[in-house]
Amino acid sequence: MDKKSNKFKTAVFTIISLYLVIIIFPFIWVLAASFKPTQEIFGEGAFNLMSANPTIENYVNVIQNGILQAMMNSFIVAGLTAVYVVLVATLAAYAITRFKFRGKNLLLGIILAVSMFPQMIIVGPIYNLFMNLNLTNSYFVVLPYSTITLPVAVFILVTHFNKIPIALEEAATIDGATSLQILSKIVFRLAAPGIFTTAIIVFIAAWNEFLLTVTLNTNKAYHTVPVAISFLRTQFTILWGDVTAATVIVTIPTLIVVLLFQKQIVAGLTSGAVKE
Amino acid sequence: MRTGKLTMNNNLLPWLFLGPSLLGFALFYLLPFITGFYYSLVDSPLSGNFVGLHNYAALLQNPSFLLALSNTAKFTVICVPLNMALSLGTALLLNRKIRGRNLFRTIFITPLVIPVASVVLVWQAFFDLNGVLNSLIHALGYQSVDWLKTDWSRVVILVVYLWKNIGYCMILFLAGLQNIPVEYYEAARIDGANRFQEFFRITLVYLTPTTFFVFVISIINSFKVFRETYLIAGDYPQNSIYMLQHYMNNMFLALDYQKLTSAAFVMAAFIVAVVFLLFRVERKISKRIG
Repeated sequence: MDKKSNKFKTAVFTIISLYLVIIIFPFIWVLAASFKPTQEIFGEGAFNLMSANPTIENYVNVIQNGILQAMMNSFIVAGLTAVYVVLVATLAAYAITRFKFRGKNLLLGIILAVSMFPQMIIVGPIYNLFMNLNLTNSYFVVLPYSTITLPVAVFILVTHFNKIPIALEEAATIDGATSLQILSKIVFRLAAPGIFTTAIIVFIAAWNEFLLTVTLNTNKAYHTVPVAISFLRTQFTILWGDVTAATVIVTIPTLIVVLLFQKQIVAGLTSGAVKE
Repeated sequence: MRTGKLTMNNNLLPWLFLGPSLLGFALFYLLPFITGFYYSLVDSPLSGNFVGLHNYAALLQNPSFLLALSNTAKFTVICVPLNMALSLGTALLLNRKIRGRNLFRTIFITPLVIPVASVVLVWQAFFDLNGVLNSLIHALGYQSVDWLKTDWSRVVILVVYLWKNIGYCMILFLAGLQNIPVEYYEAARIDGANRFQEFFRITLVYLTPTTFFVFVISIINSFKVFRETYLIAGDYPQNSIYMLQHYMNNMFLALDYQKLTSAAFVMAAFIVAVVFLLFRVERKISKRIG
């Protein structure tokens, strides 16, 4: 019995490890390539971990090319989106879980449907709207961003609010607390982990958004990281050295976020998948 | 009744709480959405002559749209079951005490949170004619393959999709698996059930809500593969990976809002139909479980 289960364990371990290697491979390759001179990135040197002539030229290039500005923009856009969305979504999720009102199911249905439609439906009209209001090439892109991430945020928060026992709030009501007091003094505090999870998920979604920025903010000064990287590919060539260096630079903050908050991220990603 | 006392509050209050969300939603989703629908019914946004369903009828005659539609459908039909099988398989393997499980989990979610634009270029480097994979193939003494300019491109996109999605779906399955009470398995074992019976009669049955969720997510993400395809292969990729959103994107760049919006609404209608059908099926199964 023991021998058999040991063999099984080895097999499982091998399969999982193989899979992990496949997942990690692109990251390792990028990291290695970012320190190589261009001519060594492909061809015979493609699989060498260390270059014969290691260089930081690629990093110097992308930094001169404004990747740090793009990162700033990404932080501003994703940060503002996260704060704004969490604020309004918390209020909305509170109303959805704690009040009975007409049209609630319709509202939830719309929320679910919206998160599934192709974004392309709204990008055209939003572009026209932004042109008319003279809002293109600005951080106002946060507004449509938040609309797109709002459904997910409300969805995660509703799941969390449903887990908070209502008895506490009822007691507070009897003691004469107003709804806003209940919200700020009880619900916010008890739901803090859920709210935090939501903020991270929204932040990551906004950090990765591509379509709206590339359409609304054509000016390089307002490009976010994903857009900036995609522009390293010109019509005829791809600046591989720059691309790999830029990828390393922008991946590091994301990796740190994942490592620090993996528990919250997993909680956010899995809410809704399990009925409790 | 869970909501007890609080429902006594006046009826305006919930709408006050919902207000900020609804306002943003109305301005930046509902309004553009309705405008988009209007565009799909007129001959041009400027003149605004109402043409009914003409744009939709024209769309169904359009060879590029039909190609995009069939490619998208084919891709979804292939990638969704594959993604589900592989992620469930991995979840089953990981659903035991393994040292370093947390580390595994972290690595599994990284593909999901890394900016698409950056990873995609890695794939491009990997599958390029003079890229990493071909230098490996060449070193082994075989002929290079032009991955992105032949029908192989479909496989490339499939790999990219699976790479990104298996980890996430596996985590969802893992959460679902851990939610099944151990007692069920113990009882089954006492009754002499074998591994297969356990899997089909307990695991799969009680995993239904999760499976349903993963199914919906996989389908939605299969539509989103456009972003990767677009960044890897550009506006006009090889024919077999020309997706619906390529069509929409190119119509957008051509400022042809009629074709863009009618195509987008056809796709939205498809999504609603599929999800609605799935909900019906899920409800039936849940009822049977009780």
